Amino acid sequence: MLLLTKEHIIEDVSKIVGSKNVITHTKKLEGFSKDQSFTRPVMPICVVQPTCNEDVQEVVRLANRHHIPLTPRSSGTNNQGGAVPALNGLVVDLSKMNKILEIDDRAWMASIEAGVTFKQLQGEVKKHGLRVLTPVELPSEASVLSTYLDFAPLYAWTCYGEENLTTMSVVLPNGETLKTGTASMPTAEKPYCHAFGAPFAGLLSYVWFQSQGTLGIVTQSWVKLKARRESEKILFLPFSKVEDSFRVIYEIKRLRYEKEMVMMNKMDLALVLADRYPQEVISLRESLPPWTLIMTLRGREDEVEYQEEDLRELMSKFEVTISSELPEVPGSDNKLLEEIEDPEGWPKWSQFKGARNTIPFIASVEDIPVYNKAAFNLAERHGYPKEDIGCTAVPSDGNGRLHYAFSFARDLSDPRDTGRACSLYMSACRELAKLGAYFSRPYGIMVELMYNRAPTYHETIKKIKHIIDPNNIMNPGKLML
Amino acid sequence: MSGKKTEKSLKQTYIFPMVRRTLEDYYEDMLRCYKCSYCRWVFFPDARDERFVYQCPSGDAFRFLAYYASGRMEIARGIVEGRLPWSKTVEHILYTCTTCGACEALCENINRCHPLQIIEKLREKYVTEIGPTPAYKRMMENVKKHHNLYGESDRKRFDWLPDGINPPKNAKIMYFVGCTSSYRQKEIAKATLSVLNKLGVKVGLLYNNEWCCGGPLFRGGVTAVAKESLKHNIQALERSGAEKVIFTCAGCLRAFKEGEEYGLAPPRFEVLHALQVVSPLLKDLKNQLKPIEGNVTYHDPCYLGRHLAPFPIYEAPREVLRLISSKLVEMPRNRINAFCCGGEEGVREEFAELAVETARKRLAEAKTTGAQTLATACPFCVQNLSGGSKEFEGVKVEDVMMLLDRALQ
Amino acid sequence: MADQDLINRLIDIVGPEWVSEDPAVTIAYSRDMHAYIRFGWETRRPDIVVLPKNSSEVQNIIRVARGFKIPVIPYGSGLNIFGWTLPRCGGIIVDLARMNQIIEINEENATATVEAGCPHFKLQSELLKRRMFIHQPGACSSIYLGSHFTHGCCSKATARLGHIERQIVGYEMVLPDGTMLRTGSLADCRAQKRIWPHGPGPDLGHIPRYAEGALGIVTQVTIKCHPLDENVWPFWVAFDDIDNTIKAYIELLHAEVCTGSSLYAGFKYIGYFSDSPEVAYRQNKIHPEFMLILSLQGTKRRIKFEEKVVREIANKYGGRVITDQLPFYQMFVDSHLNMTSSLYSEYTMRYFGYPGTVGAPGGMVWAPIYDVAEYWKRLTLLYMNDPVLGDPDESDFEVNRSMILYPSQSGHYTLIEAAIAGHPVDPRLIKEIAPRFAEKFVREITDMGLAIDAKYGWARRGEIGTISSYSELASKIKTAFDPDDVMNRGVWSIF
Repeated sequence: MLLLTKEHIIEDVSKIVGSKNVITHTKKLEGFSKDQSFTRPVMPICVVQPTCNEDVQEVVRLANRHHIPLTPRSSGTNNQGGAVPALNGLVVDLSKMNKILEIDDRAWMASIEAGVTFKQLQGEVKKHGLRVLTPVELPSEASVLSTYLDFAPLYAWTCYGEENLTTMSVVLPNGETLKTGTASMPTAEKPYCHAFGAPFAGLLSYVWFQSQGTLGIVTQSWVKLKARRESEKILFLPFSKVEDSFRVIYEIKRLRYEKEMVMMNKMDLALVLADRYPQEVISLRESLPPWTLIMTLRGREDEVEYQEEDLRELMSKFEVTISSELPEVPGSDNKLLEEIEDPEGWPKWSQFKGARNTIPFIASVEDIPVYNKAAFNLAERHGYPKEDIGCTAVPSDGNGRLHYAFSFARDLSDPRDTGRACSLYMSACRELAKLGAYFSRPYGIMVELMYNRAPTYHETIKKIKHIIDPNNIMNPGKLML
Repeated sequence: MSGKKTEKSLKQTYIFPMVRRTLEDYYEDMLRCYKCSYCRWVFFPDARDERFVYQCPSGDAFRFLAYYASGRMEIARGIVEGRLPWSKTVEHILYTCTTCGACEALCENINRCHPLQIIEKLREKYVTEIGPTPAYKRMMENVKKHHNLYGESDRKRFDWLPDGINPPKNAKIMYFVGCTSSYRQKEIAKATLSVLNKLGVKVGLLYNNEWCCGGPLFRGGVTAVAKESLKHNIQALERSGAEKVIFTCAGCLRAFKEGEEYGLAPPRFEVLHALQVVSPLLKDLKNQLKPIEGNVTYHDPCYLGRHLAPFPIYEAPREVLRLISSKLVEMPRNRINAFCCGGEEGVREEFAELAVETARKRLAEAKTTGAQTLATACPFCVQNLSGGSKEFEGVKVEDVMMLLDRALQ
Repeated sequence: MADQDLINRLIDIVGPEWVSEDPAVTIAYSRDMHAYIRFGWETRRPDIVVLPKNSSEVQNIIRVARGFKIPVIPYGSGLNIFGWTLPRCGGIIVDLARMNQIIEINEENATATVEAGCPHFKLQSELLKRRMFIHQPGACSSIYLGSHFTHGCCSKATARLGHIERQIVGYEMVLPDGTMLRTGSLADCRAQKRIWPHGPGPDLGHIPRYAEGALGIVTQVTIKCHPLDENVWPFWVAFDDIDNTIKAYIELLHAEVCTGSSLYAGFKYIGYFSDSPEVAYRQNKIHPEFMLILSLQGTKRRIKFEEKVVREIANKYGGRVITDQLPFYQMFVDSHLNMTSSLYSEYTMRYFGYPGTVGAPGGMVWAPIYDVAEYWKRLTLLYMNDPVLGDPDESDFEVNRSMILYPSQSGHYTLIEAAIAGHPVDPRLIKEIAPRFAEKFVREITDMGLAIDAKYGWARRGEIGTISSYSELASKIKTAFDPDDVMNRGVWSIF
């Protein structure tokens, strides 16, 4: 192994991707070195922006030969520290690999490169009468592939579940491209189906999910699209206590009508609905109900009609109001539908105070009050205003099991405020872990908390990592690998 | 392949043998068993309670695949192909089967591999090549010498008859009592005569001309002796002028129905369970019936149900029970899914623990229904279930005839 | 002859009555449905059979076997069609029959956790009481949940529920070194919640799938349960030509109605109730060629709406609703309402050897649904051009072609189960017709740009459509986890 100097590295990668696709300017590199999370910023040697799979392969081969750490990044909208570069490493920025390779509008599938964003894909598939399933919290500038690959929660999880990415191409640390499922069969023309009849198909088709770039760089995948319907309706159900919503959600989900569902507390909902920050956020926060369940119905007109009838009948048993618009906020129905269609997400919401830090985890519905209590108690202890805590629940397609997230807004320019938010964040992570919250996609401090409690799982991953990436060039240090 | 049958296609189309006499004739069926394991469970659409979904008493006790029908198929195939020698283990596997027929009945739905028939043919082969097991040897000798399973004097066969009761030797309706009711469960025979008398049904008895039906010996593979005994009974009953012969023992009833399989001429009388004759007569007497206390549940004897397919007797006993009890509740495993009581004579004599364990399982199931009485229609079942019932307080095991006798005033 | 020391060690673990090396006992495990077609009757006996009661016994058995470098083969219900449980070179069969308990049914989270040896219908019978059900397999309900969720694919409700991998919430698996791996939220050894299959971090949530015991033995699995609706209505829509059938099916799937749906073409449901090939032939001839088998579930309003949509689509494409004209309608309705099992699953077993069988299944093809009409037509041509299958004196290919479709949710793509006319144990089919047909069939599929995933039975003796790009990594992973190749040694070799 030949150790290369920074200059050599920059020269070598420039030869591969072209010098206009290599960023070396310090000011620009700073932008890639950090995000709003509490992960310590790290300056990369440079940022490489390949435009095709072959370029990625070459870069990876080079890195593998010389043991240069690589941190892949598609849109950098993760905001959890996932894209913060590894020490003395390169950032492989896939944002220029943004071709929509194919749209199969009869099968509702699209083949996309890693740099394709929700905004881009949504605009394209709309022409075919289709739509992309969008994420909660992430903006429409986020990469579709990375979002689905990380199992980040989507508004439509409640109906379609989390498996929306089928086959993919992964550049392995040795520079080879591995294609999963039917994509590996050269004669398959429409390679978007999973395939199973192969040794360890379950492991090798799925281990790339949630791997945060530590095993390989996914450059292309097939994703599922859904139809645009004649009638789209959004419904709001207010609750004063979160516990009151559990039975209601259970019964609604049993009917299986909703296409999207999310529940937000007034802080998070105010952030979504407000245009003028921070005044409108604060005033909305006062008037909104403590918790609001939001769900959509999409279908033919008569379909949405009967579904709404059934829902209203069901809700009458619970004495819950169901309305197509929030009385406090005229136009709220369109606002939410727009957010789902073209999310603004955390980049907008973080402007409330300057930055936004989120703790995402998976929970069983019965534990939510416990987690809420813990978070609010900790907030008090750390002197953090309770009303600034955002809570968003995204039900999965299984009843009673959902994605939950606490968000803390903080003033980037005020070190005291940041300090408070940071210590609250850390304590909250520790406390939630103790209470059994499941960090399925761990970042930052969550990694250690999680893997301390899952040693066998971690050992197994490490073994697999060692096989796939013996030189440990893929995002080293992340996930304690 | 179907279509116009040409000589070519007929020769080469796969044809299932319709007539199977020897074990080798079943070879194709052995090959077609692909371990779907239907033979281990109740019929799935009927499964209602996860505690009671099991079938096959021997499989359920020993758990190795070899103790289920699907495993026994492989043993049969091994024997036929010469890859597996006879051994004590093979004997154990073969003879711990209670011949409940659940495997046969459930396989009928799916692949028709005839597992019970194969087990019985395998037993026949074992008896021919090695010899009967000690229990069956005893039973065989007893039947040869004394015409009953228990080796007791054949002159004592009708000692159970109450004084003053002397049914004729010839009648249009003959009652075939069977060894177990004659020598062991005598109350059943007495109660039957009493009921028939109360209902004005005149029956005749063979008296000492009644030999063992041969049923248990058929099950055990001791076919030659069984056939002789059965043949004698059929001829004796025909000579008695019987138009109908009624039974209270499911095993005897079943034996009489299988004569044709063994080359005997079909009997010239109708073969019925006594309850089938009695049930229609009770409908007019509803007011005169004194109902028995508490709820009752019914255990379908294997030989009265599955073994009599395609004409099982499930409803006649139930009709009677509904008339004489306050409530008839069903166990989760009933009718075609009934779990064996474990009382097959060979198993009881050779593997007493297995018989008792099986009975306990059935009683535990009965207990979950909340019924105070577990009724059944076969002395073997009564015998075996009573044996295990001491531990299950609150569940009394009785034959339907005895309950009916008490209910009829 | 197995080492007595090994036997003694196993007896120490499970007790003497649960270990056997007697040939009469081991012979029962020597054959499975893979050998349902008579060629390749490879009967392979294990040396020893062990029946553990719980997962720590399984762990100890694996550790002991590793010490002796003896292969270990997990045995579930034995119902697979690939020969996974046949020992390639002797070894210890670990029969999970005693590990059949339901550990927990969590109604709030709609999950059920069972030991790996719990059969499907056993759990269903309990879930029925709680108005829930689990993914109904395309196999009979005696399959064990541990093994089915490691290699099943499809069901009649795949259109709403997704394929099998969507049903998993977590596994517990004993690795080749004897340690216990738990996937998803179960990995948290302190909280041990059963709520999520993925992670933490890189997703090992599907590691047991298609590992065939080569990476360990699954001892427990947590599965998603689904609500069973008040009203269930089966609907059968018949068509006379494939183009209209496929167009109608696509439209139906895109409308996202119907809880359960599959398409039967050729070899039909009715054939399940025929006692001989002749009867099956007559039944097939009088019943429609193409049948959409649908089940509508939900509230009254939902069923009314869905029925409207189904009828609209049927009318548009010339389909006829024939539900009430079926001979076994009542039995079919009853079995749907139960969901303990379904007519579809139970009688599916007749597909493999029943006297009335007229088609031998042979493989899984993945395809976009809009390619299916073309597939059918090419299949027909293959039949017509075959010297035996196309000979009108021999067979009526129009009646004996068949296929079953299992589409994904929302109809993105479908699994096609391919079958060939004939009885699965007919020597002529196996020796003469199938090898010739299989070669042409594979060529045709490849030419169409479809993907064959698994070939079994007549299509190819025990071979599976290997994903070549996985092979190198797979063997490295195997070596790392199981250096002595103890776990199901040789399982991926072809007979």
